[in-house]
Amino acid sequence: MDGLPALNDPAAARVALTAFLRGVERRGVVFAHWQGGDPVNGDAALAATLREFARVAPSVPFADWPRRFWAMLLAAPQLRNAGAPVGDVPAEVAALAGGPRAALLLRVVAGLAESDAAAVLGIARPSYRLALQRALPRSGDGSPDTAAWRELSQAAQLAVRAVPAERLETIAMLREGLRPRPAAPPRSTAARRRPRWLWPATVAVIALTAGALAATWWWPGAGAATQAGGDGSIRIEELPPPASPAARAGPASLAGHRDLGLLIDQATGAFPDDADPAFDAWLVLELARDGRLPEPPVITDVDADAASRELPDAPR
Amino acid sequence: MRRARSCACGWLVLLLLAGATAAQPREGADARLAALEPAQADALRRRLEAWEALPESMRRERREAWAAWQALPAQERARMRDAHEAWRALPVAEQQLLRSRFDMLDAGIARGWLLGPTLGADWPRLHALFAQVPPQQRDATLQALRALPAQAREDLAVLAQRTPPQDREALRQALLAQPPAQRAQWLRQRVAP
Repeated sequence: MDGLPALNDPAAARVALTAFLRGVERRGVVFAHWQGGDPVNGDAALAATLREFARVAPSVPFADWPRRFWAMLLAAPQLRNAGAPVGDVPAEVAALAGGPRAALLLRVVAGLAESDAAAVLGIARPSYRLALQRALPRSGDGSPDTAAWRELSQAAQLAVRAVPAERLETIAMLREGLRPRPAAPPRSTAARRRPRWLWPATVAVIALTAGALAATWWWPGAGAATQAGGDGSIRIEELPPPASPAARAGPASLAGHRDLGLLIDQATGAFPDDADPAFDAWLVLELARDGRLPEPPVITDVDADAASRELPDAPR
Repeated sequence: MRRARSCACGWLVLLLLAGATAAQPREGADARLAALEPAQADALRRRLEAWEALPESMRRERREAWAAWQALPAQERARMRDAHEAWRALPVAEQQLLRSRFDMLDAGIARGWLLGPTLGADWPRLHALFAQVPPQQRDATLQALRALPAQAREDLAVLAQRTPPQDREALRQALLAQPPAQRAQWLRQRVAP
């Protein structure tokens, strides 16, 4: 990798780590909630990941931090099986299975570049591009719905900004292994005593709304691609170009298509979207070398022919 | 990054794989298409849309990977699937370490692994010998290489290093001219007479 090496100066490393964690935690809240479906489990997953990441970060090259962090969060047990969504999860996201959902959220919530998102999922870039396209909102005729995509990106952006400070505090306490403060008191108590944060929060919301309104006035091209800097905001990009008219035609365009065999193998799972045969072949040797994969049996020509006949078309 | 670098052996893999790509029977795919349920055909059509939206370079890469996978013996495919599952079961840090080590390989060497775990390992030392395989000999060459036992591939690698470029064609032809069962012995004698 041509990334920077791990930071050697402990003080600089601490500062860098704090800045990094601050940069990802809001996005992490939304990502974990939308990916796993449950905000409480999501917060717990994020807290555990933040804690674990802080432990391993000193030994990871700085340039690899985003990939490592998001991969660790995605691997959290709470996010493995996306259940029925609780709370405010956009319908387009909730409708997706775990894999495509992760592909989408790594882009719109985590704000990762395509190469980093592919690396987080451990797949090649073309596979990632395919997974993302499959996850894009679609309009009635099956074509990618540009407006819905933009709305989803903006919803993600808003959700990230709207994460309340209390929730981050709770996550910080979970991260430190402390018991979070009890949940908000019942409504009847709240009605009697107005919370202290309400007034500043109201001002903030009004200011945000006014700012957003002003932005639509002064910045009519707000829907076009905007590049975010390192300020924690989300990157919005145009959709990939729409499919060619030929691809939208009827069944005739499938018959005789030069890639039909490949597409059918992908659709049936025989050759999954994320299949990377070169990597898998390399893995065979690498894992066998340190004993994590049993050595292959010695196969003669005759055995090999017999094996080819007996085995069905194994996936991958 | 490896994508920025390349070496001639990447193109040689392509040359060898070209035979496999050309050999895919289109009629078979059409028959599979005809056997699909309407809902499956719809899903396939959506898949085709996503596919068509990919840049040609990415489609070429996927096509090449698929053709290579198709050309592999079932036993090697099963082994690759096991390896992939074992990798998925590793902690994230180890997964990423392995992935980044693979990504750091030279592009040509990495592509050589498309020939499967057996030939991929030997490819860096064998590729010099297979620079100019005539199209009609691609399948036979791949088949012959795959059928060689480990010691014979080792011997062939030694011969590939020893043989000057102008004599490589003759060596390859002589190897293919041997009956399959005697190739290993023939190579052994050439290396250690």
